[in-house]
Parts: sequence; C-alpha cells; structure tokens
Amino acid sequence: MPTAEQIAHYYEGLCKVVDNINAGKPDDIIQASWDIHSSTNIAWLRTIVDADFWTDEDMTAVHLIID
Amino acid sequence: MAGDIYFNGSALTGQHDTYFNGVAMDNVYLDGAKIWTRHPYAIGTQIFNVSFSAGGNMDSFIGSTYDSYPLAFTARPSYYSGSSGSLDKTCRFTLADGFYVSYYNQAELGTDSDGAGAANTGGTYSIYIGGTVSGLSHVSGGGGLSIAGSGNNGHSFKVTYSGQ
Repeated sequence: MPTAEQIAHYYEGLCKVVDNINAGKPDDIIQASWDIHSSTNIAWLRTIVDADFWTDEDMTAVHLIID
Repeated sequence: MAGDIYFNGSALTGQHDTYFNGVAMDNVYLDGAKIWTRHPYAIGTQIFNVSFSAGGNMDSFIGSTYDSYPLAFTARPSYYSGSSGSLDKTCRFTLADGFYVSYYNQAELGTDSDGAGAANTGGTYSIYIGGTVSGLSHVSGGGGLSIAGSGNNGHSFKVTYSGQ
C-alpha cells in the first residue's frame, strides 16, 4: 500500500493529466499524436480513479472527463 | 513455474533450496509431475532498468534487453502500433510470472515506486513513444501503475523478480 506521501504524489500526477486533457491539444503536437496521448491517459484515469488507496481526494474533475 | 515447497511451514525461497545427495536441484518431480522449479534469480533482484526518450524508439528494448533477460518475458516484445521510424509507436510486452514493474518514472508526471506489484506479477504493458511525449501503460494482468502512460519527455522503468 502506498504511503500518504506517495498518494499525494500520485494525485499530483493525476491532476497534471486532468489539466493537460482539459487544456486540449497544444499547437506543437499533431492531431494523431494528441489522440494517442489523450486516449492513453483517459484510459489510465478510468482505472486509477477506483484505486483502493485514495482517501478524500477530489475526483470530480476526473469524472467530468471519463463519465 | 517458480512455485514454492514448504518445509516446516516456511517456503523455500532461494535459487537452490532443494538438494538431493548434496546436489542442488533445478526441478523437483512427484509421481512424474513437476512440483517445483528453482527460482531463476534471488528474490528481490532488480532484473533491468530501461529508459526511453520522446522521439526515440524501442529497438534496444526489443533487441538487447530481451536477449539479456529472456526469462523476464513470456515472449520477445514487439511493436504493437507504428514502427521504429514512426512518429508515434507503441511496444507491448508481457512479463513472466514472478516479475513485476517495481519502478516507473515519467519525466512530467512523477514516479510509481510503491512496490505494490510485487505480489501481483506478470501482466502485459505498453510503452508509448511520440514526438514529444512517452510513457508506460498497464494493459492487463499483473499490477497497475499509479502514474499515467503519457507525459512530456522521457520515461524509465525497472523490472524486479519477486518470485510470487
């Protein structure tokens, strides 16, 4: 089981992914690459959101993407 | 399989715990059926540590990493989409039972090194490399990853033998 510090680190990474997806495709990446990049991370969000180590982290923004 | 034999309630966990007339056994059979195979590595051994750059490829992983550590895989990794020269490409690999991803770092997104996969080994994973991003994703079996599969710049991961 991850430590509280590791969980906080994972949540920080999760928030970066959410922010990145919500910001949309940057100009310096082609559409095909963005599609792979974003779909890879959305698939990850679908699995990580149900991880058993979360405590009271806010997953509202995650659900707005995956639901 | 790297199964266990128990002696007085404790699993024999070394690479060679079982001796017959002073000779270390690689396999133990009972009534013609294999019931135990020695561990190929000492439990807890880090098998390999590989790094990938955005814009790079997986050729070395598919070639020399597999050639050096074939027991860690069920088969040679291969390109699943794209190829060495493509802008975007993925490479899939399946770890053999007893092997797990013990560390994964994605340059932008962070590090998963909680060891949670030690008891949930094997599984299929996908390496993604794009022009400016890269990462490792869990596909099926084995243990999941707590860091996402695509972020800016490079990534690295380590595979360790847990014997389970």
